[in-house]
Amino acid sequence: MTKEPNSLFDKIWNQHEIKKNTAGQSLLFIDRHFCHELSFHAFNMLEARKMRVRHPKRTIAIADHYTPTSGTNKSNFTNIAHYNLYKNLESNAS
Amino acid sequence: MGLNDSRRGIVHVVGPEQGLSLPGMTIVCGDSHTATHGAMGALAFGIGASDVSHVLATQTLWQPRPKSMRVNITGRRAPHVSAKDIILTVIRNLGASGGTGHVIEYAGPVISNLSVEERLTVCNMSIEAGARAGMMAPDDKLINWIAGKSFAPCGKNWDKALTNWRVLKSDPDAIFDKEKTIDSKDIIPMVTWGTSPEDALPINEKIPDPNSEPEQKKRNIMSEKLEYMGLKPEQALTDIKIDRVFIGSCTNSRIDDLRAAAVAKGRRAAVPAMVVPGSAAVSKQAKQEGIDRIFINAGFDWRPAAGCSMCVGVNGDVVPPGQRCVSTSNRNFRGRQGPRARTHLVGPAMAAAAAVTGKISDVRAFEAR
Repeated sequence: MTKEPNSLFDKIWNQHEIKKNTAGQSLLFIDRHFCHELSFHAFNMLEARKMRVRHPKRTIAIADHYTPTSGTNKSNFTNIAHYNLYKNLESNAS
Repeated sequence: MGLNDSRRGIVHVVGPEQGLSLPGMTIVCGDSHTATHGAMGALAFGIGASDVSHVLATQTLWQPRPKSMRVNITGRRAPHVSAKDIILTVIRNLGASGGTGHVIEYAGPVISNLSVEERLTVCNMSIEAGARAGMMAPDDKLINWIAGKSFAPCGKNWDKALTNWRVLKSDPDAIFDKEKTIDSKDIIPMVTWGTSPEDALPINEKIPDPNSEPEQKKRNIMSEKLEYMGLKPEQALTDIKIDRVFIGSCTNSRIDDLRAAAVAKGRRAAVPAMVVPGSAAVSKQAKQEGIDRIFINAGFDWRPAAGCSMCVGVNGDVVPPGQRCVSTSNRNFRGRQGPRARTHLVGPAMAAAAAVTGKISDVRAFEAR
């Protein structure tokens, strides 16, 4: 059982801990998962194992690293690879 | 949220702004500065690609339990001292690995008196002290800030949430693995000089002399940093000329940051100065307040679309090789903003001051226009 009194961190950890393994690691439930463009690695891993996203509604995808600051149209991307990263995220999210 | 979604922007700005990041949540993202959301009273941390796939597939994650650290900031902060200066002071104090293996809870009167946006800035840079995450207990100020946001609970769900949120604080006798107290009375505007966020100094000081460092290994490291940064020992910080300024990033691109940088009003940029709002909503609000015009009239490059931009330089907004950039971002690593780019991290008002003088400057000397 957890020690009393608890810190803010203890409270959140304890509330989300599903179980522990023999190595002492905790399995935590994740309430919110944000994905940006570089999540394609992870989506590829899922696809390779024919798995689907468990909780789509808890997963928010927003492109922010490779997006141009000159505007939000395809023409604002000066690098096609960056645009493809954005489109990849869009398709993974849908 | 697609490119033309009115809610989009930098992930760590949008999450809190839209009520997606809430007290008591566990929040993850494949990004180093996920700790930002800890200011919402959440446990938020960055994860790697294989962990991202584990979360996508199972909505769970295996993690070793970190230790806990409380950083108490006491006293009253002086005028012109920003949240960025506070966290740079904390990082300097703890060192780049002082928080390793720990989750930091920030507490004390100075933290309580910060606005919610300022708290986000502080939590954002927790990893630069080596910490796994940074967090603050929810209070009335935070709860009022969250109320009514797009994804925040409402109606009966709001009342239920409040009951849970109000007990989300450390018990009075909670024991932390480490505790640190920092008196804010000596905190003044800060600027980094080296290639780690821990290389931060108060603006009125000088570049350190490696010869004053007793350990040989540390002397060598310091000399290498100075060589990369093109700086000389004993040089006054306020004598350092710069080539450009970047105001943006998940650390400092919210509306309060832009308001602070609007000290540029009535002045002219002496060097190229880019301003990138943190989200479409921030951009819209800045326009409503006329802050965009302040920057445009001062000759700054106000960017229409939000994003990480020159913080990490992967979208094409880079610092040219060898140039010195004063930046409101969170990392001054070698080559971070571009190959051979030299980065000095500061708060938003300090960045605006540097932009209009063309050198690292003490914003406390500026009068409002």
